[in-house]
Amino acid sequence: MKTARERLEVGLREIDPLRARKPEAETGAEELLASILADDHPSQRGGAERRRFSGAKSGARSPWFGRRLAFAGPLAAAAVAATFVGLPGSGSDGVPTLPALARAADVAADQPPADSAARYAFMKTRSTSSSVTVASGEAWITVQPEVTEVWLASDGSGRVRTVTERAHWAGPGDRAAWEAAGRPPFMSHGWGGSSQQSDLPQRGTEVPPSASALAATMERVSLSQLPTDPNQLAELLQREAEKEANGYSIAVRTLDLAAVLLNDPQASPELRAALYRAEGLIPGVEYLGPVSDELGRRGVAVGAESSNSGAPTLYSLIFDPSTSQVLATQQLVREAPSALPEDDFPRVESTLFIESGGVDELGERP
Amino acid sequence: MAMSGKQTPADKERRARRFEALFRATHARVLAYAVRRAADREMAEEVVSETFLVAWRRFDAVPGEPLPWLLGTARKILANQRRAARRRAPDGPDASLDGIEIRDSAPPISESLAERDAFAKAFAALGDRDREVLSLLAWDGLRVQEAAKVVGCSAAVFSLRAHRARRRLLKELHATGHSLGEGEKRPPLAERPGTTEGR
Repeated sequence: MKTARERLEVGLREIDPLRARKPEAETGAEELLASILADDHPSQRGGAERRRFSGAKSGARSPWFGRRLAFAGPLAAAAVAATFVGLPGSGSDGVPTLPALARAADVAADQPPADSAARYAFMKTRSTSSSVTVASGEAWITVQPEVTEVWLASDGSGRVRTVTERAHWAGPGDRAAWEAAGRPPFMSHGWGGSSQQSDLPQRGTEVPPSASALAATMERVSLSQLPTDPNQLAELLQREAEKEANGYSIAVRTLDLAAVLLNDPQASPELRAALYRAEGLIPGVEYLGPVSDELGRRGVAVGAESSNSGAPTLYSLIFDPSTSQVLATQQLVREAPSALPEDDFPRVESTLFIESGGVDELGERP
Repeated sequence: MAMSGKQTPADKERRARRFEALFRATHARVLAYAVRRAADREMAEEVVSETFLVAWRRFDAVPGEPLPWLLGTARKILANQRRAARRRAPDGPDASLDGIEIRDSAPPISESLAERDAFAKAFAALGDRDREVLSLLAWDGLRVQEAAKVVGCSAAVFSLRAHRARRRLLKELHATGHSLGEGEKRPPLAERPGTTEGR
């Protein structure tokens, strides 16, 4: 006669979701193993080219770059569930790069020319950021979503509209922690639920502090001056990223910038192709595998790890290689700060690229 | 990161071979863990891939008994996936454990199906932590010491959680009119003809 506990165990096994299924076929296991092991052999992935740029020296600062990168930080991209590590590959021009980037570059190069006739470049993003509060021995996290729309003309003028959505608890445990701490007041800046709109002055005037990071990073002063040679572009990206690193790794900074440039409707197919190839040449940028962004859009991620915030964080750029569309930048904080329970990690913050295109009027959407 | 620029080619080769051995010994268990808990097979494979990618990058931190460490890593990655899914559908189900399907490859035995259905409903009525504790033991076949490492607590605490979870599961079963107490005339599922444990 079995005990009640043994019967419970039997009953639990009966409802095992894998019960009565044939053993899970380990499809892709060998490919996964091979790709992970290949990740440690740079020579198989154009390592010589990658090392070439690691010693690149800073040159003269491009006039537009400083302004772009000065605002790029808040858009810091990041990473998420990574899957397969990239296998060796090369682009059609012979520049060794990661295969997913090479594919996206090929697709980007075949896209129609940029719509330079439109008066404004429009871009819409939705970002989420997390705030950690520690009080009375408890710690909790709130998430603040924000939607930003930018209209930007070639002379630098335009408009920024920001909708700050209501903040929410990252999870039920966060609210419980706040209640356990005695429900202290926090969120001194409010819980959101507001919108703000401001007009941008023509170039030559500093972007006011209230203008969004997105507006600053997408300001396309001299997109046409950017080199379309991947090697030159990679060197340029790294030089400028190094100047404006602010604690971030150079690779992470270049991801931030590339994301916005790739979404700029005024970026030419040649430039977008070069940007994808250039990212594959940046030391530290790795293929992270297929992922879904927070809208459920499927893509692949490349990214780099950095501990600039004090915790190991994976930053990534998610894109769809079949369309060359950039979907999101994300950052995955892998380990909990000491104040927070380990169960609450990893945490993700992201910027989703919702829409972009050329329009003729302020307020108009593609 | 565990990878170091100071490694010689021979060191790298040894490291690769050790990782390969770990991968082959544990991949099926990690995949099964992920498939049981992820929303779909695709997500499960993403979780497995990232788990082993983390293991490769932090290979020096992987303990001699790697399975609990790997499952603990997969658990965190899954939690992250669910968090992202909640953002997409705030009112949607929290985890795939809510959607346990009754799979019946054995000959149809209505009584058995009814009991399994009752078990599934009782299990689904438990809290996340109770379900996790019970499933680690019953589905993943872990020992208490191993399961404790997966969730990051001591074996003693895990045993206590398991005890309480079983008690709550029994309570849920009783609430639906099912009793598994001693002296029950009806034999347990696995002892009936035509049923298998499927493991």
